[in-house]
Amino acid sequence: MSKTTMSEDRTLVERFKQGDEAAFEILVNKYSGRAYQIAYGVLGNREDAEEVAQDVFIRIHRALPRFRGDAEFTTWMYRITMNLAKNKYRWNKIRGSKVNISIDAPLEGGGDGSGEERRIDLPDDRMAPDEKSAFKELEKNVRDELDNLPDIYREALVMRNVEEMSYEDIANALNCKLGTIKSRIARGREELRKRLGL
Amino acid sequence: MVYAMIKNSYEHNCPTPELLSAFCDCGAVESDLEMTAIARHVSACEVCRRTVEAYRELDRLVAAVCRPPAGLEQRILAAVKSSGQASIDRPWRLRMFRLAQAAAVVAVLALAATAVMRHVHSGKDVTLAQHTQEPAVQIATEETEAKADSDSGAVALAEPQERLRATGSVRGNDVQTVGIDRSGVRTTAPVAQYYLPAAVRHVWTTSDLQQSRRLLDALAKDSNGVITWTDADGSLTGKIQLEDGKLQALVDSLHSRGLQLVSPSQPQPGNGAKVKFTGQAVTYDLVLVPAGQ
Repeated sequence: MSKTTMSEDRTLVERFKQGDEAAFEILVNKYSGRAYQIAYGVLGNREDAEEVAQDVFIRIHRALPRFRGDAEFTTWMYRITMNLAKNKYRWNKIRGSKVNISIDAPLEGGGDGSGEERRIDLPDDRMAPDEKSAFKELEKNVRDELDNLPDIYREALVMRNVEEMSYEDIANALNCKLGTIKSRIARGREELRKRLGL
Repeated sequence: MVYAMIKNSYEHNCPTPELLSAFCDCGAVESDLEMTAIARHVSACEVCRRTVEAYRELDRLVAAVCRPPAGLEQRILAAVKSSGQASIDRPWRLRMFRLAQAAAVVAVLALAATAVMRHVHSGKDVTLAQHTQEPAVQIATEETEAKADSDSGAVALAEPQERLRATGSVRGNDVQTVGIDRSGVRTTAPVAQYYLPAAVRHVWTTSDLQQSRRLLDALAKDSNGVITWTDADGSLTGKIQLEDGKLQALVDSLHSRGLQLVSPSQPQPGNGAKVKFTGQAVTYDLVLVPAGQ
């Protein structure tokens, strides 16, 4: 991350502390995508990732007045995101409710017990119709295979694609050594490449 | 020393997949020397070039798959605002809390029921009391869980129309531009663009180092810039500050004059339409490596 960006973030945090709510909105616009992507890397599920991203910024909004700035804002945000995403992951595991359903996936058995197929209308994809039609088959395969990758590879690989997230940032967020992260990204890439036949 | 990193994993003494992966991420390779050596190898080895291309394609696809949904920022801001008013919408913790709450209520009810039954039947029907408790507990739990699930559904499916009306978003270095009419209906497909970062590093291969250096000096001069050069291990490293638009033009010019860009980072040759130019200064680090060595 560039020094300019870090300095901008500090200014935004200070402005928010002095009561400028617009500064918080800028932080949300800047970083909500990253929070979502990090959470997606951990959870492999878009609704859950959005839920976590929302919770991250609710937490940040509450805690920011007490944020001392010992760490960079992004480091702090990555940490909160990882903690909440891991909590959510554990919750899903206990409940056995980690289910990835595509927007068009038919569910076996209607809710009325008739056994007929029914379709659910999830805000899962959230693409406009024109975007949906352009969504390539390959991307769908990538999504499926990415979701099926071992968690440690998916986390690292997805974070690698988060804007401006360096290997050091990923290592900090995942509490791993730099070499481990390099290795996980490489193995994740190689595994995904094999599975997709690229 | 440099080639100590090269492991004999392929028949052509190719770098390991881990090194090729790090090479795709530019800065992840430990030294310029190592980066240069891998760049040279990749430009000369068909197998490794295909692997690097596959990794880059994967990155593009993974980025597309993990793309945040449209309107995320607005929904987050709305959630933050509503969290300030009453209770926060946190379904999984809410569910946990409600399950715990329900369990406590059920336990109290069960104890009360036992006490009542004992009182009514004067101690002769402890067994009966136990039998009546169990179904009561079961039913209460099921009702609570059904309620919790419906709460979760309400949260996950909230305001679908609002989501469909999203008109574009800005996040990180990406921007999407869409056309909408007065009623907020989308009229044109979104055009995805990105901002260039403040610093870019590129490795180029060239058939003639000195000629390329002269070319770059001339192009830099045209852009009112100066490149500072350093020599290292048969390659040339240069640094220049340019406006983002001029950097794209420089990259296009180098490509059209036969230099090959081996780095995956933006800007890429001929990709100017996808860049949102703002006139911001970009620090450009470039490494010239002799091709095929």
